[in-house]
Amino acid sequence: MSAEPVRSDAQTAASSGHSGGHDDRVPMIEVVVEVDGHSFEEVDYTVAGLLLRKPHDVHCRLVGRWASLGDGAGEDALHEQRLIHEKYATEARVVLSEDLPATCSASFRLHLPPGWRPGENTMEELAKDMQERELGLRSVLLPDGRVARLESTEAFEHAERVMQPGDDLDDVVDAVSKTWWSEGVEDGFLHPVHAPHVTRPSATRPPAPKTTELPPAAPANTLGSRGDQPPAPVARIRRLARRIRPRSHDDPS
Amino acid sequence: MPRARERDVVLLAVHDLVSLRRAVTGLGNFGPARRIGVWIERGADHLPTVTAQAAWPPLEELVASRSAERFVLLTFSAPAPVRPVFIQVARAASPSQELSTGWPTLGVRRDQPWLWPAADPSAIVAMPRRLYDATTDSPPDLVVTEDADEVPDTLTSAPHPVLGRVPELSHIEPDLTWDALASWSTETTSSELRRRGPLSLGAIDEGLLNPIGFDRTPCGDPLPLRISDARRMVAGDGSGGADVQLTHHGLSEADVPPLRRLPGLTLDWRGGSGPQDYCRTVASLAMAGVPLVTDAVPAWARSLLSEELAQALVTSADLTDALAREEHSVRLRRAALRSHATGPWRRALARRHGLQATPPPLVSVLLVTRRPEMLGFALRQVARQHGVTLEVVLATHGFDADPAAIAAFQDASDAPLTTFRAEASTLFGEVLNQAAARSSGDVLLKMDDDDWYAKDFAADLLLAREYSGAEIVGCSSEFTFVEPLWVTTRRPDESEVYRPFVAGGTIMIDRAAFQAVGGFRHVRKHVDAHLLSATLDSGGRVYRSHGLGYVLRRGAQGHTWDPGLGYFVTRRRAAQQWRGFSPSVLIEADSDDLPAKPLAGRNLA
Repeated sequence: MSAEPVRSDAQTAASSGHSGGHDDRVPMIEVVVEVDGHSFEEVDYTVAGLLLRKPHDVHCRLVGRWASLGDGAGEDALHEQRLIHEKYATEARVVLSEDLPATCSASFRLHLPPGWRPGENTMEELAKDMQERELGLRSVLLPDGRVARLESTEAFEHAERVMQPGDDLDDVVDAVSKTWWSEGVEDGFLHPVHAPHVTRPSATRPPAPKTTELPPAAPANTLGSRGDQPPAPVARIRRLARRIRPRSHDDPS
Repeated sequence: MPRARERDVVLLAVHDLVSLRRAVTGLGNFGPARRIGVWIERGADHLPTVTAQAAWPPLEELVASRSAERFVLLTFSAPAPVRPVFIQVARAASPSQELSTGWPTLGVRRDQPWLWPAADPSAIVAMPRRLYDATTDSPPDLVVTEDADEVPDTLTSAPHPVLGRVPELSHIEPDLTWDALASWSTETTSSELRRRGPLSLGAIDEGLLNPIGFDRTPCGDPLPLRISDARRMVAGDGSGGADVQLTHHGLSEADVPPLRRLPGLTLDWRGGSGPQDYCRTVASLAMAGVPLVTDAVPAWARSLLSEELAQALVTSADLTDALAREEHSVRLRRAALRSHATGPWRRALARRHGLQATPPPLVSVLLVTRRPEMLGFALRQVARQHGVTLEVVLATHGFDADPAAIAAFQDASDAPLTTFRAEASTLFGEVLNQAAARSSGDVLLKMDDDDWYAKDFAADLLLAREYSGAEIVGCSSEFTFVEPLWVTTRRPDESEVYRPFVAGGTIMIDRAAFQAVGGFRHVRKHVDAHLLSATLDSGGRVYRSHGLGYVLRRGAQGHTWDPGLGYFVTRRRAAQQWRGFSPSVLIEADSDDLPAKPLAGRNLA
């Protein structure tokens, strides 16, 4: 277990909606944000957004060169990371780590590019959809070309157990579970420039294929024209012929 | 006072539109009438509403009714010629607005209406004295009859003055009964059935029995097809499904809509009046795209159905899987349309008797590419087309074609290839027009340089053109391979429908319609959309066939139309997905043409 224990305080436990105050419960989603090369504003937009959103059993792992902050080296290069550290080092649901642990204690891990944050129900809906459809990986293409990846821990662990040398891990995840692509704005991801917050429909799942109900089973003899004994063709033609009345005799021709 | 031959009303009463189109083949010359109508006993979702012709007297009233009775009644201001009006009604009865004429001219006996070719007023329908008249100026090329020994010696002893030869006689024996089949020895059965062959089923009217309206979302389970001795065809166990009375000519167009809602029908090869009756029904159902499944096709049926159809019937298909079901339907309809429809049937007769036949249309493929690296791939997609007569006009837009790619094409295909280089500064629409100007085909087919095409792609579009009659046929980009994301997506669009849009890389347009709108618009982008709208605005029709034979390739760049990659994974576009290149099985992509997997990377910025 290389994952760090999840810090949980009274506030998160109370606001999570779970009863019993399990301090050691694992978060449902671990959101991984790789901060290197990104501005404080970008990372802050993402992390602040995450902490606002449901589900509250989310924790956020900021991967960066935190150990280098203290030695004064790269003062300018690490300026942004220092600001991030100042704001989030003491935040209960944020973990700062140098590397991404190979294993994950949460059910899902979301790799989220800095600058993007999920909408109000985005993560909850995506996670629910993944569980319902037993997806192993949901890749979300964001309008700036970056990709948010929601990985099912179980599926990735399974894939890693069975993968052979030379295999592409995502291919194996697809084989043992299923992978899926979707579009970020449609899924509710927000960005101050690319996807400003607007009202949107909340459905995350692709529309279910339309099904057409068969009409109530008809008695076998009602399809076609014979079973219910309509008038014989000749009678029907005569009736029609009566409707086509003879032309008036004062016809000019 | 009207002359004696003039009538007030002539009313043609028919069972259904299939019967109407067969009846029109044998219509005699009535005198003129002021009111001319057709009464249709059943079916007719779409009434055959005709367009008044300039040659007719002015129309005073046109009534088309589907209320209590289905009928169409034209009232003229003066007596109008009856036969031309009925011919137009028969044309209008098919969504294609077409009849089924062509060489060779067929002769049939007036008293054998079951042999009348569908929707063919050019056929000579007469009694033997007229059919075999050695002095007539309009003799048939080929007489199709059930009676072998009726040709007078005067006809066969000397060449006919018009034909310059003795008229050919095609003897089609009466439909077999099950009793007759049972009484024969195995050898007799096999030789008798082989002698009859698929031609003995007659032609099936693809103008009415076709895949238009194929339903992709059926419900329930496949039902067994049963045909009772009274020629009553029942799909199901009597508690639902469909129950229809077969006409002498097999299926009626009115029988198809209830069958559309079923996943398919299982065949047990029993029922009806005999082998031909049963096989005619099977071929008609297949032509309509109704999925049919069976464990095996009996030997007698193999003699009567085309080989391709018999093969398609035994191809295993999981009808509970919507995609597999549609693929199966496409195989069946393709096989049936290619062999049992009116055109192929007539051509097969001509071939058997060595007669002139109306040739199938020549397709000119217009291929424009500005990417030298795609040239080989694009030409391979054209070279793999089969079952169709092609010529290819290739425009290399801003570069010279690699001779190796040209040579590879010529090795792989017999299709004549014309190549030219267009200047890079020339607008795309203009390059396409330059290509069209170098072509000679009856129809033009615009293919794209990076998309995948099934071997039957062009042939399937030609079939759709036949049964839809549309000036433009194509398909939607239902399957997309989003290369940078390494995913195949499917948008289950409506197909087998008249719709204003088809994918640009699938546009097949009649040359006449192309010329009527003035060709492609000289624009840098949206050339396809402009051609579609110009055709629609000029009164033309656009038909969207099945989309299983085409895969749009979406790369990261290089597209004239670029809505952003995200568009291709939106819910509407990507309702179905498969990781990697995973098109319909009908694509049968060659290993050389499979996409190369990009290096793993998470960001595409």
